[in-house]
Amino acid sequence: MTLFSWIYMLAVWAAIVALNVFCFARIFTKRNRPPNHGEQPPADGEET
Amino acid sequence: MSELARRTGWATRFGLIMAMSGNAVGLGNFLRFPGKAAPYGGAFMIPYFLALVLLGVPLMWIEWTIGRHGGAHGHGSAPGMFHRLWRRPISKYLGIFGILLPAMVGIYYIYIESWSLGYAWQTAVGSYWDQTSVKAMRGVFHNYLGIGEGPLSFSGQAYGFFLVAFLLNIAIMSLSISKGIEFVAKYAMPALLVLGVVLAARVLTLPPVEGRTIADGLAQIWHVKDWSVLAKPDVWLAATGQIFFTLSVGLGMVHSYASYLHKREDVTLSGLAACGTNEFVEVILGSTIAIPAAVVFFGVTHTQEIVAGGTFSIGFHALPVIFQQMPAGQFFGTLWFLLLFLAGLTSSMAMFTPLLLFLEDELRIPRKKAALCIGAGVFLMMQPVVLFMHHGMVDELDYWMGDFGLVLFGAIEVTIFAWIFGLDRGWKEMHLGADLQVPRIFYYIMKYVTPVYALTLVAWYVRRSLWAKVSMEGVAGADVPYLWLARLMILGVAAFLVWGVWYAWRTHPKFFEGADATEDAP
Repeated sequence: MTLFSWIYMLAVWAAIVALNVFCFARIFTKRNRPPNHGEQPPADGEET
Repeated sequence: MSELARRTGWATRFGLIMAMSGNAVGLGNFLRFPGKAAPYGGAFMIPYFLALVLLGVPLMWIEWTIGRHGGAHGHGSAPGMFHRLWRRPISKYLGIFGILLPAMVGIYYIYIESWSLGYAWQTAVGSYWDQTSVKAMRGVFHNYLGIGEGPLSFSGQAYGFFLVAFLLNIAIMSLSISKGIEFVAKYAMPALLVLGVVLAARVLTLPPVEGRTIADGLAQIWHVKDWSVLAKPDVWLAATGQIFFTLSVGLGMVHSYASYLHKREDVTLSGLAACGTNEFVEVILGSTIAIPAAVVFFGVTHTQEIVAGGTFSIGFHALPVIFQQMPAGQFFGTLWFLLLFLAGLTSSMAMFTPLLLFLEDELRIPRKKAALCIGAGVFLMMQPVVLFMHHGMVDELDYWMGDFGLVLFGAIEVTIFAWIFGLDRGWKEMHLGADLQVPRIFYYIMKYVTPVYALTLVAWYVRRSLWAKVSMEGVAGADVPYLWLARLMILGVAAFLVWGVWYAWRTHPKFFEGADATEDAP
């Protein structure tokens, strides 16, 4: 494993763990639930 | 509506997410993924994560949305769901893939899952403990399956464990969703995660063997040896196929689970959480156990040969040898095979759910009776798969149903959802009750990138392997009748489903309700 390989692997692992923490923290705390349950799609040409 | 009133649904959101994650997490996370990634090294992860973002996650959200939308109309399987998205006669027939594919995959998957249970037992009692080479373990494996000189691949032990796994799956399926699948998933998934973490920690702390360290093993997955492999279509095909397979998208099972959701129950955050859990198990745990341990004990060259030997070589031939050389190896070996069994069980218990809900919702057969009918039919079809396995029946079913079929169904569903139902309506439907606002870039990904990506993949499959498969190129003459038998089984189930759809749409009162007929017409 080179230094780049270690960084690469740990960065991917960190991203996956962060994704799980983000999802499950929101699920268990149920914060930030949008009051509007009918999000509109973006209009044509709208910046993303 | 009576169909809606009898749906009991998921008891808890945690149970739902564990069931959805369990549906995705399977044998492929621990056996197939390392085998696909290792030959290409770290470069494999680039197309893998691109496919995850552009294809896997969007399809997951789309399937959750289609399922919840169909469930609100009393449909638990894809024919009815597609009918609600696209009011043309062909839509419900296209939905048949969403029942056929998982059911036919289940026919051989449960048998493979039962091997893990059998090997957990064999490891716990140490029955192969004097077989200390990969070659010898290959012999043990063939002996376990009863593959030898005789005309049948049969052994009493393998068949006994197959019966246990089969009955367990049917029993879970026959119960209500909260008492069956959810109950099992709530305990099996955390147990699987604990076993996976324990095994990964054990592998990561292995001492060097003849100068080979665990870092050498991790390098097989993470070190980028050659960026130019990204120019090869093979690596893109392998990575994209793995994303379909690992997330269980393009199969119809996610739809059925999501059909139990209420109209305003979140799908965006829950869908993403299911993807996240699957990626944790696959990329972090799956890449840390089998290949690194094999490299430490056998070296890089021998490990590459083992990986080239097929999906099961690393798990069933190589790792048992390693466990025999490891302190407390019998304990860790038993954990490994229990881990595989739980991963298999949490996937396989979903595979007949679309068929069960089709019989229940569209053909109005009571659940217990439907489960018995499925159990009997599936058991019959499993016999040739088990007994003639050495003639390639599993590989034939796997190509048509678990490989080409799911890519085709994925392409069909994303096209219907994004372009026929319309992504404006789809986006709105997806965000009903959402706990997570999906970034708007995904609107464009779902509308343009995912359909083009999926259709390109179908075209690539057709160009690359379809004709060779149809014409059985390179197949030994003795195997040809058995491959035809596998195809006849697929066609037989498909014919039954075509009849079922035709019959249900002519007789079920819900298809004649005026309000339903116009409410969602695109």
